[in-house]
Amino acid sequence: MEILTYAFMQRALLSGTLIGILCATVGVYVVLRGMSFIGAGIAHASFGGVAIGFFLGINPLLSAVVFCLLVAWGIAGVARTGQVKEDTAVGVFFASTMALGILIIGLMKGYNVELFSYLFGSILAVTPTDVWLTVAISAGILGTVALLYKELEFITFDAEMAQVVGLPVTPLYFLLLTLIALTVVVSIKVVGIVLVSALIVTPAAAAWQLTYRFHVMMILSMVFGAVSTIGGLLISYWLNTASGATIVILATLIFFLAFLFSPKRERPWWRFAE
Amino acid sequence: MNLQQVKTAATTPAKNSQPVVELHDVSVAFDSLVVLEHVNLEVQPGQFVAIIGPNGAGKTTLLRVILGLLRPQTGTVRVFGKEPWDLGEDRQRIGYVPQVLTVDLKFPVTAGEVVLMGRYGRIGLFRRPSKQDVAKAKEAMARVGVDHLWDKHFGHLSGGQRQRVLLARALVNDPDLLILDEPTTGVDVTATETVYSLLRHFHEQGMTIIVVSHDVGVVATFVDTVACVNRKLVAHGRPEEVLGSEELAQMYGCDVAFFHHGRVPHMVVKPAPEEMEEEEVDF
Repeated sequence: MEILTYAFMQRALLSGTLIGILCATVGVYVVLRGMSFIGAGIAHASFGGVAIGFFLGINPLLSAVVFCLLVAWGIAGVARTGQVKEDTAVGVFFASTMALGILIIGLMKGYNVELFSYLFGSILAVTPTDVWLTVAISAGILGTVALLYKELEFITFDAEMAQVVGLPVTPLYFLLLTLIALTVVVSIKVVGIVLVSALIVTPAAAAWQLTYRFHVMMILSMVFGAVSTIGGLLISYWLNTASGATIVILATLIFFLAFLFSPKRERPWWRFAE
Repeated sequence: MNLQQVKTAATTPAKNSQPVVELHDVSVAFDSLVVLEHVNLEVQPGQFVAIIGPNGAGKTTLLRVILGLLRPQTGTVRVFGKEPWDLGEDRQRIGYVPQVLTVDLKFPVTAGEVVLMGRYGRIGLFRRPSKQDVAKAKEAMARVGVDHLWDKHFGHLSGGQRQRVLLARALVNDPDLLILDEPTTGVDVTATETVYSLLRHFHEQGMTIIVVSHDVGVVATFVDTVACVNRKLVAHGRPEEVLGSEELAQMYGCDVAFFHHGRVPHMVVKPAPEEMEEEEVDF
């Protein structure tokens, strides 16, 4: 356990645990509402935001926050007109913002190693400032979810009915996208742009296999998210593997276990072939 | 020829002058597709109205207009004398039962939670449901005989049970106006009669009820007014006036087939000929 005495490891574990819980929390809404592609789209858009930050010489997480929020709201705004389907809007923004990032990198001289650590995540990259940013944003997101728990559940379950009973469905939808965008941005340093959407979707998907209750799904998802990030970080340290990839593989293992032993299965997996 | 001129000879006299629902010259189009055209409709307090018509006739669109989910391109809509998208507190006076097939059955939610959600607009943002909200939800479920299902997963219920849970959610705020969209789709005959008996009971207690259905027969024996919609409001009047008319069949496709099986004379709006084979009528 001497690894816990390293300051960088303490920072990574604290950030990682919070990120695991955050991703798993918004993941419940993403999975139940069938918005996995939005999570992936916003994650890839953050690459453009990070690149802009490097180009302008400001904190890349800051520029990524602004950029991801604009993209998330842009997707929602375009989709709400009804002229373009939501997944089409994501598809358009997703590729174009990634392209923008690549263009901007091309404009910069030299090869930026740090920028590429955002793509795949690195525990060494977590600075004390990042930890405070993660703590603050986590508190904001988890607090918002706690305050609007019943409303977010309702619009995820049945948005039309939520509107009929008088909930402000459109602002809540934009708020949900905002929460997803902020979660993505605080997560990319540890797990990386390419893998963050897996950390959003997989723990929630695993939790859904095991319960018929919303709040149980929420708690299980948070536990799976935290276990995946803490376990993944420790394993990646011992085996000297990439942290983001190790976390996601561990989360996926949990998902498959949940899938195989799900009480919802009509027949057990060992009789699947019959 | 013009049944629109048949006066709404409501069996229930209006208790006060203000109609619960007023639509005047309402037209709705999605791009170039006209779904509703110049619809005029009034529903008086205490009336039990069925909106019938073939598939794709704009029945659900009409409900969405009344619920304030959709703004018509032209015309005026009033519910309780207000615009339905700006009802304020009066929104809680409407109970709505959507088509049961539109509800996500895999969502991790219990029957009790589904009913409790009907209170969320009244409870307000940031607050948790109180004991009183839970009591109201249980009471609403008891009214329709599904209180024993409180802890059951919604997706595990039978079609008839699900329908009654959705009805309980609509009743949870003691609505003055109850709106139902195809409440008997995917539900067997016994459950259908249960639902309509409940509706008749609420009607007798003075509730205003609007039900959309393609199942004319069941409707005809319970409601006091039928409005036949096929893009336009084709006919509006008492069931025997509207449903006995040849004109419906000829002019507008509200063709009615009669059956006399079981306890209730059974009629359905005939689908277009090419759809006939799929539309199996069972009793």
